[in-house]
Amino acid sequence: MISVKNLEKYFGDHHVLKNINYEIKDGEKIVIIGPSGSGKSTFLRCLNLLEVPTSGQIFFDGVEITDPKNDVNKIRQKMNMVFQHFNLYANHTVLSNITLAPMKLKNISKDQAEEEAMNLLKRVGLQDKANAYPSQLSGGQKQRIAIVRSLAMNPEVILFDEPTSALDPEMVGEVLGVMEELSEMGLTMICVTHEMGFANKIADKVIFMDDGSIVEENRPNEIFSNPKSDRLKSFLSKIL
Amino acid sequence: MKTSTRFFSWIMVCFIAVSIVCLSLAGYEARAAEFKTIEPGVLTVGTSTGFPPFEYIGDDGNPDGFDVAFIKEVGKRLGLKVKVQDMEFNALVASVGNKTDVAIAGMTVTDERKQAVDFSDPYYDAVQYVLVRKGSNMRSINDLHGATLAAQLGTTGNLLADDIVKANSQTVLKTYDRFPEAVNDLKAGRVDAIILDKTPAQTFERIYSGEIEAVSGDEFGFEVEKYAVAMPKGSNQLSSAINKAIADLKNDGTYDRIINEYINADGGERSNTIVDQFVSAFITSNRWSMYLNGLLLTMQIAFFAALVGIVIGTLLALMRITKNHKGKNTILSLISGIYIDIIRGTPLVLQLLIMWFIIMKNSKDGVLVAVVAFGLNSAAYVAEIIRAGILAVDSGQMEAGRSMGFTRAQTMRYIVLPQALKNSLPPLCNEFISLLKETAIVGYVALSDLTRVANQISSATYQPFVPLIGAAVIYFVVIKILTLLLGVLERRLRRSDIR
Repeated sequence: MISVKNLEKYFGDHHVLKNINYEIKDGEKIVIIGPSGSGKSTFLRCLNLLEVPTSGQIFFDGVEITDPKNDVNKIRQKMNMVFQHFNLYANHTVLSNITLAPMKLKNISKDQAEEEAMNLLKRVGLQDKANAYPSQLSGGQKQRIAIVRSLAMNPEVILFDEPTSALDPEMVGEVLGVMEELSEMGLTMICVTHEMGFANKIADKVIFMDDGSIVEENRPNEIFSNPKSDRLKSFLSKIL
Repeated sequence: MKTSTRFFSWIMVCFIAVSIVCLSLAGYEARAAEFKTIEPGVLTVGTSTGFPPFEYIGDDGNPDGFDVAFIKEVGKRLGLKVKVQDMEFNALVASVGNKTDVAIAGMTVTDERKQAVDFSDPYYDAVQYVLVRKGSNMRSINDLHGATLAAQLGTTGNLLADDIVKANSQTVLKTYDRFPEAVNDLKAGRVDAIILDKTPAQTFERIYSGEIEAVSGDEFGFEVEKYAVAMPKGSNQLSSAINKAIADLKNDGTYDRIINEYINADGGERSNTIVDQFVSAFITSNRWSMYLNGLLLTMQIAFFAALVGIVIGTLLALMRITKNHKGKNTILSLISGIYIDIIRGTPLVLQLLIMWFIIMKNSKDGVLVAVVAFGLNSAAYVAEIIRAGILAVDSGQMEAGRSMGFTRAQTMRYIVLPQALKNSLPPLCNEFISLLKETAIVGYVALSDLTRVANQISSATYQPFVPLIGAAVIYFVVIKILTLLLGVLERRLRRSDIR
């Protein structure tokens, strides 16, 4: 479904991604781990072109999204992102955050969009917040709304960029709970996280990145119980 | 929100009423004449009040005086209705031929002016006088050397004073837009002598007897000067018709009647107590209605200029932040940047004059020109305010919109710009308040706004204190009310931020 070929990314002179090649199959749950500055967030942001790769190709369902001729906006509708800092639209209510894109981009009627939004809000237990503004919500509530906002577009892929890193510890559980539910729906999920327990539980594959390269890639039990490279061993010894 | 909506609709109603009155006046049709004038059947005359008794604002709030009465008689002979436009004296010559058909303002024939306009036969001989403080012993040209002189900008007195400055570099010359201010400074000791025409000099001497005296220019060796009507170069038909009318007026006694009415009569009121001054500045001849009309004009210009400024300013801000796919500035961004630089780098009064005399020189609607000039000026400042507002919106908002599949323009419209405008509201309110005060210079394009009205009334009463303080108080009260209303609006918009 997503295929990455010879991906390179520089910020100025800084070589952030070094010749990344990877294939993601439909419905796979991929977790990316690695130390700070290893390039894992940049890799994720390259997948939907929030960062423009310096060179290399990315294909989505056979369409080359790195080719400027192809409309990246259409592809992003099928490949949403959930951010570390939530990024709910501050000037819209919760309900309007969820319905804006379906109404404007998919021409869904207001009534239908709101009905679907309310159903999704019920699933995450936040239907009573429909008319609240983002500034009135806790971090955990904001991130659950952000996930619902993505789901409302019926995407094929959701990219998660450290979705629990900005949360108070007692709120991490509620967000991971929603993500676990999602993982049972057949969506493709690609998630940068430091939550190793979560990775172990839901991931089909775990990618370990360091210094701009994919150092190791395997099923989670192999990565965590049988790490091969020294860098992964040293990384795991520091965090576990 | 409700209060301010009602306030603005009130303003709108007033503006519509004012425009209807203007339109119906413009619809007046005089009988056809054989010359081409700017407005068919109408002789548009430029003058500059503040030069009594030749031109001043009369009790009915319209320009009056010898010149005005005289040119109206001339107009009658030509079969034209006369429309008088009051403007700054130094704008008169430039406006002949594009904004006005002729100018009459106690204007002396000089070689320099002849290069720009044609003159009629002289209708009045004048000699320049010198106003000095009582007890001053200035009586010869040598006494003026090294003194501080005053003159009205662009007048013959200005030219004579320039010659004195050339002859003696110690001499200081201060130029004024109006004489009452110069006379005030003479009394205060800021200047030593004012060079001006005989009749106004004698009028001022009479009003301030005991404080200043008028000395004939003969004693200083000044030559006799001739007042004439200025008209566009090469307007032979108009010129001969006006000359014939002047000759007729002198022959049939009309000229003498006007001289007696205006020049030989005692003019000028003087009020001593502050109450008398207040009465003459506000109540006599319903002068308060002039301030009210001036205020409405000020608000009309400011309101429409603010609308123009916000629309164009927002576009400029959006142009300014455009980036191509490599993250470099685009040509649109460059254009917007240059526009903002030019507007911010030049004085507003020059922009207004350039708009009036050059870019929109065929427009007779001073309000329209002022709205365009102030709107385009304000747009540059609004653009920077809104750009700052956009930059203050967290970059995550743009990323969230883009990652959802919105284009950059859609994200701007639905998500970033509404937040940016809310961020920008307090500085935008400041900008509007500045704009309201900056309109005080529209007197340059012949509009009687609040400031110009205060000046006109101080010319008519010869006492600037009450009109100027009064106008300042009116500005202050209006702006205070606006500040309070905008504060209410701002609190309403901050609602989504309440935690």
